[in-house]
Amino acid sequence: MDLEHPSPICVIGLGNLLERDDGVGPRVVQELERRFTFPREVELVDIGTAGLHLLTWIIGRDVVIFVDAVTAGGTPGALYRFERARLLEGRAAGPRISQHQPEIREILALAEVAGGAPREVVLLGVEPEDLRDGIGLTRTLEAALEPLAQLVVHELERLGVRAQPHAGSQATIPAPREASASRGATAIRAT
Amino acid sequence: MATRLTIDPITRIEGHLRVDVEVDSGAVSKAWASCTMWRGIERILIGRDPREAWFFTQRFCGVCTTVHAMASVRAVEDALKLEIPLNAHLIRNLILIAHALHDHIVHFYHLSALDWVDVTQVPLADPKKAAAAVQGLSNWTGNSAEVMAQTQERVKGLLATGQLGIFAHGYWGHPAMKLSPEVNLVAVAHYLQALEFQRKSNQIVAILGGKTPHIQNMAVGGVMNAVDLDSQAALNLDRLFMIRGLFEEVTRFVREVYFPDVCLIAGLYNDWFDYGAGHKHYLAVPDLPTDTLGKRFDLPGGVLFDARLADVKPMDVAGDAQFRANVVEDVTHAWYRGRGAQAPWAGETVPEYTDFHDDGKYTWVKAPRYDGKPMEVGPLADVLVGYASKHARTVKWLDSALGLVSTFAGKPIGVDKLPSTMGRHLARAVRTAILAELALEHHQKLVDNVLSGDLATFVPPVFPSGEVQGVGVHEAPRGTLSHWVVIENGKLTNYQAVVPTTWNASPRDVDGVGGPYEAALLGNPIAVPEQPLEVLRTVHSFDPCMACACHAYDPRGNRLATIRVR
Repeated sequence: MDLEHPSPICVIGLGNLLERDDGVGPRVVQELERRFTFPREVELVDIGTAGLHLLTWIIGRDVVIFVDAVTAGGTPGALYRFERARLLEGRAAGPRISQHQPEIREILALAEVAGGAPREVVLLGVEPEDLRDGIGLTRTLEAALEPLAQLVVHELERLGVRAQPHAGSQATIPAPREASASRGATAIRAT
Repeated sequence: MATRLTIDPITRIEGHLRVDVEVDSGAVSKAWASCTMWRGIERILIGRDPREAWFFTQRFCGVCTTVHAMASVRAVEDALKLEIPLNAHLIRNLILIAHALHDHIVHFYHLSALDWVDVTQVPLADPKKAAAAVQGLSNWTGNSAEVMAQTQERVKGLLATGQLGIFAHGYWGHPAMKLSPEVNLVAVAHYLQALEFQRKSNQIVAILGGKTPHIQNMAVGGVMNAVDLDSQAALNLDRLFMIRGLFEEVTRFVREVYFPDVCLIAGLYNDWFDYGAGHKHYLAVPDLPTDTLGKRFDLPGGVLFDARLADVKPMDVAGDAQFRANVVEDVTHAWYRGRGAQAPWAGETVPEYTDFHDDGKYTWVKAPRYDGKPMEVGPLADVLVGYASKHARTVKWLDSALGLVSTFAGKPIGVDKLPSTMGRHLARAVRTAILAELALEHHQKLVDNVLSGDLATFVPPVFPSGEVQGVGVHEAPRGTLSHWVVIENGKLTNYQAVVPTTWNASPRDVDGVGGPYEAALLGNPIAVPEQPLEVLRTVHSFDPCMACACHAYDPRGNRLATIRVR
C-alpha cells in the first residue's frame, strides 16, 4: 500500500485462519481477489488478527469495510451488517491486561483521536459455528462465503464502485480448503 | 486477612490472561498468572511439509506474525544444517528490526504509557511550560509550544464529549498517578505522534516482506526477494533507498522522543525501580547474524542467574548445546496431561482441563524451565546479558539512560535497579535505541554486499530420509522465542513453540516455584483494591502477548475486564 496516498476504500478481512470459522474474513478477501478485478479506489487486505496494526490500514481512508466472524447469538451462517454507531456502542471500560487485545471500536476511537479516521465504517459479518483450532471453514460457513462476498460487492456498488468479474469466473465460489497455505507452499516449490 | 483479587479480561469469546493476587496489608502476598485460552495450535502442523510450516505459524499470533515465520524457517534450516546466503540473513534482519521498532514504540506509548500518564490532567497544563520542559532533551520539532497547545485542545475536545474512547481504560485520578500536568501533556502529544512512526516501521516490513501482517517473502533456505538493483520487479535501488529513508525517520523518533521520554518517566516514578524484580534469572539468545553460517551476531545472548552479572554465561551460537539440553516444559500446574517436565522435542500437548485450582492446575501455559529455573525473557534480559557481557552498544546506551534517569530522579539509579517494573521499560528503550542504530548499519551491509555482486537470496533445502531435529531461535521483541521441530522423511512429526510469554507467564512448576509474572507481583503495593493499577503496571512491564488466537467480534461484550474482590 502507498502510505501517503491510500485508496479511499479498504476492505479488511479479520480473523484467524487457524481457528476454523474465525478465518472467514480472510477467506472472503481471498475469494474476492480471485474472482474480481477492483478499481484503484479499492484495496483488499487479509489482515488476520492484527490488533493495533489495523490502524495502519484504516487511517486516511474514506470508507472501511470489515469482514469478520460475529458472535451475535444468531444461527451459524446468519449474516450481519453493522455501521459505525453500532460498533462504538458500549465503549470499553476497565483495565486491559494483555497489550494485544484492542478491539475494532478501540482502534476506531484511536483513529478519531489521531486524526484521519474513516468517514464511514461498515462491518459485514457472519455467525460462526466452530471456532476451535483447525484449518478450513465448517460446511455451514463455506456455504455462507458466497452470500458474504456478495454483501461486500453490493456494499461497494452502493459506494459507486463496480467489481469486474474475471473472465470465466464461476457464479458460485468453490471451496479450496487451506486456500492461503497451499498457495504459499506452491510459491516455495516453484523455486 | 488477605483479600483475593481476580482480574480477568473477557473481551472476546475466549479470555486471555487472568491474574489472581492475594493482597495483605496493602501489598501482594500471593499471585497466579493464568492463560485462559487453549494453546495447542502447533498440533495442526503435524504431518505437514516443513517448508510450509512458517506460513501457518505466522498466524499463531496476530501481532507478532513475522517472528513466528522467522523461528519456523530457522528451526527447519537448523535441522537440515543449511547455510543460507548473507543477503537472506540481512533482509531477515531488517524485517526483524523494523518489526521490533514498531512493537516497542507501540508498547510504550499506546499500550502501557497510560499506566503512568493521566490524560485527565492534560487540560490543567501550561503548554509553554510543557514545551520548555522537553525542549532541552532534544531538537524534536514536535516539542514546540504550538504542538503542545494543539494536543491540549484535542484532548479537551475529547474530554468534553465524555467519550474518552481509547483513553477509557485508564484509572484517572488514581493516587498512584504522580506526573505534573505538563509532563502528562508531553506524553500524550508523543502518544499521538508515535502513531505515525509505528506505521512507518510497518511499511518497511511491508516493502521487504511483500505484505504485512503475514509476510510473503520467507522460505526455508533464505528469502524469496529477488535482488536486482536495476529491475522494477525486484528489491532495487529505489526500494532500498525508500527503506533507508523510513529507517532514518523512525530512528530519529526513537533517539529524540521515545528514549528521552522513558528516561523522564522512569526518573519521575523512580520508586518503581523498587518493585517487580521477580526471580532475577534471565535468558536471551543472540540475534542479527552477520555471516552465512550464523556464527557471528550483532546482538549478544546468554544466561544470568540471580542477576549476578559477573557470572554471565554467554551464548555464542543461537540455540547452543546448553540451550538444547536445558530447556524443558513442566505441565504440573497446566491444563495438560501429566506431571513434571519434558524437553520440547519430546513434548506432548494433550489437554486436561480441570477448572482453576490454586494448588493444582490453573492455566493453559506450560512452565518452561532452564536448568530447572524459571527464566525471565525480554528486553530486560537482553540488556542485562549484554551489559554483563560488555557488549559495547548495550553499555553505551544503558549508561546514557541511567545518567538521564538519575538526573530526573535527583538521585543515582544504577544498573542494580534494573530488575524491576520500571527497569523493564528502561531496558526496552535501551534495546530499541540499539536496534535503531543497527537498522542503518545492517541496511548498509546489505547494500554493500549487493554492490559487491552477490545477488543470492536462496538455497534449496534437501530433506534426508530418517529423522532429524532442529531448533529455531529468535530474540523477538518480547524475548527468546524457540520453535522445536522433529522431521521424519520430509514430514513434521512434532512441533513445539516455546514463546516469550510462555516463559514470563509461566505457572508454578513441580516444585511449586512460580513463574516470572507471579514472582514479580509479590510485594507490589496496592493502594485501592478495586483499582489494581499497580498490578497492571508490573504485568504490563513485561509486554504480555497471549497469542491472539481469536478475534471474532462480540457485539454483546462491552466490558474489557472484570475485577472481582473477595
